[in-house]
Amino acid sequence: MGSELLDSFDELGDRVAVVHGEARHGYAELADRIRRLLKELDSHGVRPHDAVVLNGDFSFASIAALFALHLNRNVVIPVVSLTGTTLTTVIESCDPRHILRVSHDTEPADEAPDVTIEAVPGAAADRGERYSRLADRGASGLVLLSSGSTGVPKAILHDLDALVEEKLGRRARGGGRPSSILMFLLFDHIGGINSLLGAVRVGGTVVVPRRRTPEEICALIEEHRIRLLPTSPTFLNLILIGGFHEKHDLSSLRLISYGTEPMPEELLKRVGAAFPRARLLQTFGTSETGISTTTSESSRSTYFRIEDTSVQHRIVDGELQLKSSTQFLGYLNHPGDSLTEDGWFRTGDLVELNEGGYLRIKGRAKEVINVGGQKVLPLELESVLLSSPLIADCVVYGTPNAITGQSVCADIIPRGEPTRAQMRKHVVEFLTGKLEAFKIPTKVNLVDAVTVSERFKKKRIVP
Amino acid sequence: MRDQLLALLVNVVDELNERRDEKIPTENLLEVGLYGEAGVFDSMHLVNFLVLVEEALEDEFDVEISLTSEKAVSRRVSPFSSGRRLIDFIEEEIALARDGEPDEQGTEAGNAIPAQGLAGGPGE
Repeated sequence: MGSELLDSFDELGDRVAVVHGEARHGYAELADRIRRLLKELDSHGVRPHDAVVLNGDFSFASIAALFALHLNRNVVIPVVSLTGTTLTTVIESCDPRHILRVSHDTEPADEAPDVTIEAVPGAAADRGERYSRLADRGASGLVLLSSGSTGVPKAILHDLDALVEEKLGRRARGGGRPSSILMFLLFDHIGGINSLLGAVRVGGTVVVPRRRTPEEICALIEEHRIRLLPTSPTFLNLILIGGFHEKHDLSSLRLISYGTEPMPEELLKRVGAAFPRARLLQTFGTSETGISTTTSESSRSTYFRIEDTSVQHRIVDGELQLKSSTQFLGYLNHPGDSLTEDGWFRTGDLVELNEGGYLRIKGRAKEVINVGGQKVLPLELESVLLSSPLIADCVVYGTPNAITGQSVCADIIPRGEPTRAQMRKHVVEFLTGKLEAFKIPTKVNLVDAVTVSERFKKKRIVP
Repeated sequence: MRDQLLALLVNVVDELNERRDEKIPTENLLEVGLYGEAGVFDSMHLVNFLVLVEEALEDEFDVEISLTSEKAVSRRVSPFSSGRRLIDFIEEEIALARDGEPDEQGTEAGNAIPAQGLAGGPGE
């Protein structure tokens, strides 16, 4: 299997695999880098089925390292920013033997290696049961840390062979122009890994941004004539608010896929108007079940269908549940309460189905605001609010009170400079008649920026 | 202080009245029942009202207190039984909040209600 992968890279020769800053790396160069890394792993005593932290964001070296660790039969734990608390969680939950650090410099000085491997001190001598299922199969593994909104991140264990096989097994090489794809999603995110494998599958070019700012991303799209941009609704809105799509020529974009959080309908309209030539696709996936192949009902619709032979879905009490062949093996540090007794994964996403059999995400179950027993979905409100000419962006969440349980709160980035009282008045007037009274925010805050996670998802406070 | 608080409550009720069909009388707000049997608000409107009062207190008295806390609802005599009781409760809470930060007391004491009433005021 290993040699097959490297052979297929060799075959692609000089075709550009990775662009990072000024540097361009061909597929054959990637294969060579992987072979050298395999030797380095060997010389550092990194044995098959050892867990290895891979610390770094997307770069030529980190991509090579990911494939090298996969071929070396390791359990890879990609972590973009390895803070003290994250490292503690990883050491406690994943028992890593080594930390492989990749420097993020695009042009490292010759003397400075871009990859260093160090042993984790005090790792237990016996390997334990943790990865025995993978070892028995002879498979490589992947641990993703969920960016859980509360507490310690969950360590989610995947069979990396299954993920790679799923993508690279059904190879769609050859014909057509190899696409270039912008690595907007992070290296330690299921969407990032998925984008990478998807690009490699078609012999495409992976363009790595130096920074994930709207300005930089739009400049890269123009410079590299990017065709495919996987991103999030929040980031698309940041581009629109800043008008970056007008400062750069983004006409190369053929497909904008958005995921990681639900898309407000109003925002989709604006995105559609700003990028008339691009197809807009809702992607859907979870760190636990992988990214499913989806089709949107249309570029103007937030309804989509899961069309993936390896993924089954069902709706139970309004919640979407999934079962996939690339489903995770389990959590390393968490009880498996997100699986039903019959092995379906509870996504926590509330969905509705239209007559055509298409799904639409209404919001996260845990983000539902309960006002005296009446349910409010933040997304519904945000979507309506975004259609106001006075509102650039907003985030809606519940705040606890002892009278109605929760009340609705909205943080708003205004257009122009209204006072808080003026904005509150506007919000009430704007929503009256469009939504039921109990959904109208009790509290309105004016903010300069809505809280966005490093993965460009809106952060809603969950009480 | 009580006069200022009453003026603040009247301002908030005026704002709410703008979009109510059934206006709440403000001439004798001290005696108006806010919630309960003879109350003018249902629970949702009460929360709405209290949050606006909290906001006005923040703007005009520079003090952050909660009027929808467990403490407020579990009082034997409900602070929501009348305007007067609510002012009592607000006064207590302000005193408690300011005890916590004695350094700022001096500046806050001089913070009278701005001439235009509610900061920014209803636009129209």
